[in-house]
Parts: sequence; C-alpha cells; structure tokens
Amino acid sequence: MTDISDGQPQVEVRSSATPAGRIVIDNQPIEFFAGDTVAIAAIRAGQHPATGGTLCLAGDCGNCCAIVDSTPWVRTCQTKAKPGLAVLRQPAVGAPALNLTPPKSAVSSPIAAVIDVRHINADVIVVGGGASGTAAATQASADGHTVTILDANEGNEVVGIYAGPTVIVRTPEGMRHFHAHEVIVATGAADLQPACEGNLSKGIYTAGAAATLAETHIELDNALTVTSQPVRIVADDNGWVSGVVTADADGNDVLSDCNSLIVDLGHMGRDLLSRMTDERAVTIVGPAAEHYPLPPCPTSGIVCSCSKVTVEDLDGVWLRGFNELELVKRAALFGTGTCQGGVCMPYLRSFVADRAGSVPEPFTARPISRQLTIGEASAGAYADNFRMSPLHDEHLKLGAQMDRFGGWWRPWNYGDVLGEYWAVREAVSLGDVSTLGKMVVSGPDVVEVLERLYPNNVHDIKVGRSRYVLLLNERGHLLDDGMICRESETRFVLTFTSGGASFAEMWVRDWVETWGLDCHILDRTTSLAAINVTGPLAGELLRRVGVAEPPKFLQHRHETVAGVPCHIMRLSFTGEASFELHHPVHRSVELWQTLMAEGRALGIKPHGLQALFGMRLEKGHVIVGMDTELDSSPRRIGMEWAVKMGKPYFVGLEALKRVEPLPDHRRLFGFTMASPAPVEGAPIYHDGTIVGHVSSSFDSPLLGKAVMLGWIKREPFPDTVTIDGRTATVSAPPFYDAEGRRARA
Amino acid sequence: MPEQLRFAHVDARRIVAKPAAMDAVTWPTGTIALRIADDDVLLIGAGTTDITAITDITVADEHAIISDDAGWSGIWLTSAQVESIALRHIHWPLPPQRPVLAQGLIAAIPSKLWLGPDGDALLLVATVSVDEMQERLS
Repeated sequence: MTDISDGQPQVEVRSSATPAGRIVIDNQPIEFFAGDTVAIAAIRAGQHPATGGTLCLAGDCGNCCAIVDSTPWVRTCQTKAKPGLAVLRQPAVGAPALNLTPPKSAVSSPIAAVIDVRHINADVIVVGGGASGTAAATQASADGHTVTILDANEGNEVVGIYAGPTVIVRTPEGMRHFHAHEVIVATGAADLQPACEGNLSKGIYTAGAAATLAETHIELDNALTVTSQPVRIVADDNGWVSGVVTADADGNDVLSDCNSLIVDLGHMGRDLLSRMTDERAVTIVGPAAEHYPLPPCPTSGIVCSCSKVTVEDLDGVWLRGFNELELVKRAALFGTGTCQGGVCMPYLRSFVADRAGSVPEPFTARPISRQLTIGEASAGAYADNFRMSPLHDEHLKLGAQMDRFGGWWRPWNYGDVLGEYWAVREAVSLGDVSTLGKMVVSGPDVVEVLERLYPNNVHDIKVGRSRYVLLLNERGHLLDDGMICRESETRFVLTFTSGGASFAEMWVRDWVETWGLDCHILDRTTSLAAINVTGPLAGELLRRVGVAEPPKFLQHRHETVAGVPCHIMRLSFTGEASFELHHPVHRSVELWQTLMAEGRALGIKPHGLQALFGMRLEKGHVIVGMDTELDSSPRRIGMEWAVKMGKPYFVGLEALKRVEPLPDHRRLFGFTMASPAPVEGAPIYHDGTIVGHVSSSFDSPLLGKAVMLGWIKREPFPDTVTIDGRTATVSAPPFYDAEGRRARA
Repeated sequence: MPEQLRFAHVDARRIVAKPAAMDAVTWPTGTIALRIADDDVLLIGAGTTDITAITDITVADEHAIISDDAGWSGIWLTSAQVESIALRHIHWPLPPQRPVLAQGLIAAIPSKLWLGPDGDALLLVATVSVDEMQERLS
C-alpha cells in the first residue's frame, strides 16, 4: 500500500496483513495494523504524525507529539493505535489551545474524571527493560532483591525521580508512585538528531527510527542515509524532504536528492531521569551511563526543536553575557520543552564548549520529564484539611457563613453582624472557641518548665487562678499568646491561639526534652470543645444552667454546666465578662443547644469571628499573625508589661536584653478616625510618605468611629497620620472600657 | 473505596506517664491499649467494654495525666478494606507484625490504624477531621 495523501509518496508497505482498524488524524481516517503506534500508523499512511521534525520513534524527542483524544503533548510514537482514536496535530509553533471543556470532577483531565493513583513500596526498581535493564534486574534478583522493571514500551512511563527515591510512573491504569530502596536507571542511549537548516522538515528519521520502521514492514521511499551532520536539509513546498546538502572531503557542499532522510549521527546517553537526582540510591547503568563524544558545534538552524531555539538565539544570549550552560538555558529557554533537554543537550554542551573553551556538565533535570495532565500530576494529592468544630452543623443551622481560619472552618458571621455585636455588648452571646489550643502539663518540674517558656512569672499563679501570657521565640519575637491556668502545684492547663495550637505541642515538647526536665504533656486541642459565654448577662446565663457562683475574673475551675462536665475559665477577649466552657467534644452540641435555649429570654445570639474581631479591636487586643509580624517583639506591640525582664531566664530573654538599649523604628499603634474604617492593609501616610499599614480596622458601633491597629515603621512616630486620604489620630488602646470594669463585672 | 464509610464516636481514656511506669501497667481486660508514644497510651474498649466505666487505672507515676479523651472517631475495617485503603491513601509501608499500631497520614489526615491479630483493623481519626476523612475515603 502506498499513500500519497500528503502529495508525496513516502513509504511502501510490504505486508499482507489486514488492517486492524482506523484512527482519525486531523479528521482524516487512516488504517493501522496490529501493534502499530499512532506515529507508525501515520507514517504508514504517508504522513508525519505532527507538523514536522526528525522522528526518533523511541519517545525521546517531542517531534511526534499530538493531541490524542483531547490530551495534548502525547508522544504518538509511544501511543498504541486503537479504533476510533482521535488525533489532532498541534501547531508547529506555540502551545495547543487550552481545552476549556468543564471537567467531570475536580481533576482537569478530559480523559478520566478521577486518575487512579497507587503508592507502592518497592525494593529495587529498574527503569528500562532493554539489555542493560534486564542484566541489572537479573543481577539484583540474584543478590536477593525483589525487582520491579518499569519499561515505557510496556506502558510504564517513568516521568520523574524524586527524593526518597520516589519514582513517578504513568501507566494505562493510572499513576503509580514507587517508594524504592534502590533505583537503577537503565534507559539506554538515544539517537542524535540533526541540528541544521531544514531539520524540521517531514521525512527525516534517526537510524533507530528507520530500524523500527523496517521491523514494521515499512520501506522508506528513496531513502538516503547520512552519517555526518548535514549542512542543510532541503524540502519541497509541502515540507517534505527533497534533498540533503552535505560537505565533501574538501568542504564543498554536495546536494543529494532523496525523499526520506535517515540520519545516523551517533548516540547520547538517555540520562534525563538520572540527572534528576544525586541520591546514592539511584544508579545509572549501561549505555545510559556512557560518555559519548559531543557532536560538532552547531552552526545554523534549530538546535532545540521543542522550544524552537536556533543557533542565532544561542549566540544572542551568549553575547549578552549569559556565558554558562545554565544561564544559556534560562535565557534562551533551551531544553525547556517537552523533551526537557533529553535530545538537544549534546548540542548545547557543544555550543558552550566552543564558545567558552571547556566542556560543561549537563544541567540538572527537573521532574517531570514530559507533560502530564493536571489530573495525572495531582492524582493522590489532597487539599488542606480544615478541621470542623463539633458545632459546625449548629452554626449552619443558625445561618452561619463559614470561613477557613487558623486551620479550621469557623463561623464568620450569622448574617447579622451588628446584632451579634450588640448581643455581646448588651446581653449575652455564645462564641465557638473549640479551635483554641489546649494542653495539660504536669510534673515535678512543671513550674520550672513554664518559667522558662514564658516571659511572665508563673510560680506565683495561685491554684484556681490564671494569667495571660505571651510566648516568645529565641529571638524574643512573638510566637503566640494564651492563658496559663493553675490546677495544682504541679499541674497546669495552657491555652494557645487557634492558629498556634498545632505548633504549640511541638514547641513545648521540644523545650522540655532539650532542658531534660520532668514534665508530662498532653495536647487536648481536638479532645475538648469550648464555648465562650460572653456579655454582661453571661454570668446570669450560667446561673440559669446550674453554675451557682460563676468564677471571678481570671479564676477557673471544673464544674458541671447543664449536665456537661466543663472547665470554666473566666477571662475576656471581647471586653465583656466571658466564661470559656471547655468540655468533651461529644457533649458540645447538647451544651450549645441548652445555652442557646436558656439564653433566649436574655436576648442571646451567637457571634462569629467578624463581630469578635471588631470587639477585641475596641479593646486593643492583638491577634497574633494578623497584627503581629514575624519579628514583633513585646516592645514593638506595646506589651512590655507582659514581660518580666528580671527573671533569670526565659526563651527570648537574651535577645530582648540585647535590643533593649537600642532604639526601635517600628511600633504597633492604635488609631481612630471618622468612619468608614479603611480596609485592613491600607497604607499609612505621614507627610506624603508611606510610613506603615493598617493591620486591623473596625467601624465601632458603640464609639461611632473607626478604630484601628497599625504599624508605623519610621521615626519620629507622629501623632496624626493620613489613611485612606483622611486624618487619623494615633490613640493608645484600649478604645473601650479602658479600666476593664466590664470584663471584671 | 466504593462503599460509604461511617465512623462512630470512640470513648477513650488517655494516660500520659513515665515510660517505665507505662511498661509496668497491666491494662484492664476488655481494653485495647494503643501506645501512641513511649509516655502516652490511648485506651479504648474492645468489643462491648465501656471504657468510661473503667476507673481503676493505676500508674506508678504521681504526676501521670489520666483523663477521658472524647476526641476520637473510628471505624472497624475488614482486612480487604484495609488493603484497599492502604493502596489508595497510605503513602507509607504498613508494619508486617500483628497486632500493631500504625500511625501516620491516611488520605493526608493524621490517623491511627490498629491492625488486629485477625486481620481486622480499627481506623481512628480526630473527630474534628472525621467528616473530611469520610469524604476522602469514600
């Protein structure tokens, strides 16, 4: 069979076999035979599977890539033809158009809604099933190892080797992540491709490709084999090879006519995978490990066919000073296409060697070695897990708008922020603070541990009392804040912020072990829920649910509330009397519902974070991570009162002592201005210059103006600034109930 | 995993004490002591045992922390279910011995997997992550 569909007879098929079916290339059906790949079927039909370029038929280059069944960048030489397969040629330059078909599910692959992924623990992985791979596998097996061979020709395409080593494989069944003790890369050698004018023509084959075609009974028409770099390749109007110019012994150009060109220029190690890692557990064997002579420095034409980088492009970046291999790569985008330098690397090394005078090592290859769909790449990956309070469904029933905050889903508001605010300020409200970090520490050395951990005094906290504390790192910068509650002489309960809770246990445990002190630690963050009962009527609500004498400010005790065992902590973040009820997670819903029911007559409403953030801002309370920065010291946030510099030691003390005599150019200040409040993050100006930014802002319903916290990072610190084009006054917080009478009421 | 997994609340006791003291404890019959660290045991009831009714846990450490721990949800899995979960959602090798407690990320969520002597297993996850876990495993 001879097909002249593209205007040029290219092949002759010497087989009596009958076709196995038809595939469709650019809407044109073509027949294929059993065992054909898409590329072979195209060649058999007298076509190029893509728009042009030398074909290796070994999966090395990107010159046969096409859109196969809607997935772009598929190597057609490694894709088995099957009836009905739809192939579209990609544009010669640029990327295929994005497929904007809505995915069937969260993954973007148009082929499968969900890509299966398996994690497989393996002993020895051999990449490549050729002669060297088989030999390596045999040896490893003889040494007592369990060996898994991954061969692209069997459909197991290794696309990357990561630390571990972890071998990522694309298979017809999905993605496979092999976690191996040892990886042997035996990927063999690839054919060198021509780097000259006209090398993107159709009808050019490497020697290996020509051998593959012969095995599939395809005889190339009027084929000519060259064994040295052509001067240029000549093509007809349809882009098919019509001749090749080579240099004779005297250096003269010689034109030879041909319809197919076979280039036999030597080999290069197929070392892309081995260049991804320098782990000892990854070895490279066989032809892939051999050092092949570099080809002559290219003089013209396209050198990197994936990115269409020419010799002129390389010269351009070289002349601009990019005089190292890695720099040339980045400046010219050389080797950044689908073959990832797997084919063109020798030419780049040859180019740099010619210009620089020494041969550079190849650049590190980055996984992945070829295009994956987003679905394949993300298979097995999970989004962050945001934890749910046991009251999550209760919040939804109450119309809460939930948002992610500090690693948790939390109620942002219940649809009536102002109503929530006034419930706290004038009646009673519930807030879900289950997300707070909670930790029990116990032991003979517990006081010593806490004295060293915290900058406050701890030893003088009486049993049944609690104290607000900062947590500093070794540099004296704020890590977190919370409460210390003393339960006995040798036992305390610590609380941390929601965002700091996950870090807190590591921090405390690490220090305890570092100091070698005797102290047990139990993180109860996810075992205990917590409800904050807050507002001027909070005490009354507690009495109505069985707490005869609610604790006084900064007291705490264990007591049953509405039949639920609770640890009641009296404190205040909202500025009103507040009782945190810490209780077992599985009793949270009943406690919440009872409090809501009993509080109805008192005007109870739940409040979300939106109202809470405003109320705490009226009190000037900082939120760690929102109002603080990574290098915020107690002085910078105006909380030196929470640090006892006279203590013999605490984490961060030495750093604070060093900076204490030094001036500080950054401070967190309070501000007030006429409403509306500027957005958080708004720049703060002074004399027309940005001197800082707003970290928190709130239109205070009670005060009738905007209150803010914000950073000023330039001295002298001014008394007035400009925010949002308006004048704001620097004003020391708290802005509300400065004496704290309401919190203590 | 084709079927919808349904976790249930697991009552537990938590004991934190010196490792030597832990080693010396004889745990009450009808319980499973999950040694989640040298100094930390999560004690759950086996079969019909009500762990909350067991109050006579004695540990030779006066500073031991012994408390109810209501923060866990769990599900018993057959060996076939363990196999399918292991292949799809666990990125680390399961220990070969039985019974054994395995701990690590399952479906990217911190989990505990107690692999019993008969092949069945108890998968435990913090209740605050159980909805997400159920969704990911189903």
